[in-house]
Amino acid sequence: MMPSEIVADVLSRLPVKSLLRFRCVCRLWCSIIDSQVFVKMHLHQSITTNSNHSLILGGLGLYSVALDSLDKAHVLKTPFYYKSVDDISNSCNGLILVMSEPLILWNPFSTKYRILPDNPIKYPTPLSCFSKVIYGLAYDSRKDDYKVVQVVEFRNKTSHIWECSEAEIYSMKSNSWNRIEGFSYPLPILKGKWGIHVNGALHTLVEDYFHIYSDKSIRIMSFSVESENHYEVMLPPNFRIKNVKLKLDVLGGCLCLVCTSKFGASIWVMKEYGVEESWTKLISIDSSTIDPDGILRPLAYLKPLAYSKNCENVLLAYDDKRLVWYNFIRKTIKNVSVRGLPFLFFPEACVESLISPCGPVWREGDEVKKSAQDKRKEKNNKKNRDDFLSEGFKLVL
Amino acid sequence: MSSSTELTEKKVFLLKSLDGVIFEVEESVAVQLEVIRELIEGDCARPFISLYNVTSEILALVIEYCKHHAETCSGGTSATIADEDLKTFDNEFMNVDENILLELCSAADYLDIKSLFELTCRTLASLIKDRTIIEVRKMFNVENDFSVVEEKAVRKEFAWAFK
Repeated sequence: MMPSEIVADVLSRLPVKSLLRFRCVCRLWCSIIDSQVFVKMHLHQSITTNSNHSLILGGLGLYSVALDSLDKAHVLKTPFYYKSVDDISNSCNGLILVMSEPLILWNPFSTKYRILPDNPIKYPTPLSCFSKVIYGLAYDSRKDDYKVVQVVEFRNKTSHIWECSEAEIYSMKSNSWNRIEGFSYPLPILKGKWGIHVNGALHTLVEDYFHIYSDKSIRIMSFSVESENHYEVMLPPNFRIKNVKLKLDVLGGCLCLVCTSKFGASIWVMKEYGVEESWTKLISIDSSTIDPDGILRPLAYLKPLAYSKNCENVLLAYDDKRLVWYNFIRKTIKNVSVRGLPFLFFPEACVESLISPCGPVWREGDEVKKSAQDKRKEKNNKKNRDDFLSEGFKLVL
Repeated sequence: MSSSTELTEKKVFLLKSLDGVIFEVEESVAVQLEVIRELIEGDCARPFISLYNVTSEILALVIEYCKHHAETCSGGTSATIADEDLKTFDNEFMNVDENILLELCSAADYLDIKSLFELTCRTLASLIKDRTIIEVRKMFNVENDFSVVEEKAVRKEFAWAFK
């Protein structure tokens, strides 16, 4: 029989659905798959090898599309009550926040979910304002905790100009809400999701108008769920923002900027988080791009979703209505036909994981088993090496 | 490789399998086995090394794999051609009986050959992905130690995954 460490290595390369079935193979396999060490190993394996990824489509109902095959959109049945108008947040290690009332933290791959407790903190809306609630989901790697940030924005009823915000943070570990002090910038007002999650922080583009007729300036603000601090991330050096529509997004775990103008579109990627010089222009769509079917005409918002396995293509959502492959080498656009795709959809690229929204399920003896396993491996390694050495020495002596 | 080894004549190692068969391999092949490379770097390597956990049938395959990888990587071909060549070789190399594949995987772990371990794990995973529980138990030679009631309960928890 194979040692359990090797079994775990083989299993860590499987999709979630297979793993949930293989819990039935025997007690050992079940305890491997359920262990926190394995859940993390599986997640890490999927992220580093760019495998086991799906698109989760929100908007009009919920769908999933496996990125490896990209053949069919499957309707997702939720184990909880879901209204089709409820939006979904960004995804974070296989978890998604369903913005229903009450809020639900959900793993669409294991189908496990948790209903979040009601946020006890309520704010009165000033008479001249209306309020809007925005959510983001993030992972705190220092505390190994998943966190939901809720921002209530107050905007002027007539001008829609942002006046102030109040924010709270929910921790999955403590299952409670806490207030965040000082949220001093507005989040995107329309459709814009806040959930640009990279490096344990949520990011947004902030436009500053110093005078109504003067040029605007733009900055990237981020909120770290680890330190609960706000900080600025630099834009590409000498970045031109005039007559360009900008959107912030995530691609392959990197922050990226989508710029659309009358003449074309470009996508910039911050290859090394926080390093201004690492901003690189990844895609440039202009008159030289080969698009024989005119798929990208008229040019509308492009949302980068994922790299192909061979890294030669990037999957883009065009105007929330269709999916296209952009090929870096040939600079071509190719339509992706997925059966059952709804007319309009808001896609989120999501890694399939076994991360439980219910928090870690501690079984008695889990810790003990792990340390025993570690010791065994250590002992084995030592034994192997001793065998080599002794054999070698025996011969020399 | 350091210049001192280049000056001396080609070093040869003798690897002895569990069933006593001795294989002669050049250093460039032997260093692909991380356990041996560590011994060489630590200056502890002796020309004769016994591998207690690997049978001659498996060791022959492992050496074939390491030889091909060592030759392709040191040959003058460009990186992309070498890459393509290794991919084709790996695909053909994995076209073996399932029991041998399992043994190769364990051997790659024991001998610490990262690329072979990765390759065998990946192949095994894609083989079992859509298999039934009974087929997987048989392949990995594991006994079902759940009671009927327990198995039913574990199965019920994610009944949809069996559809």
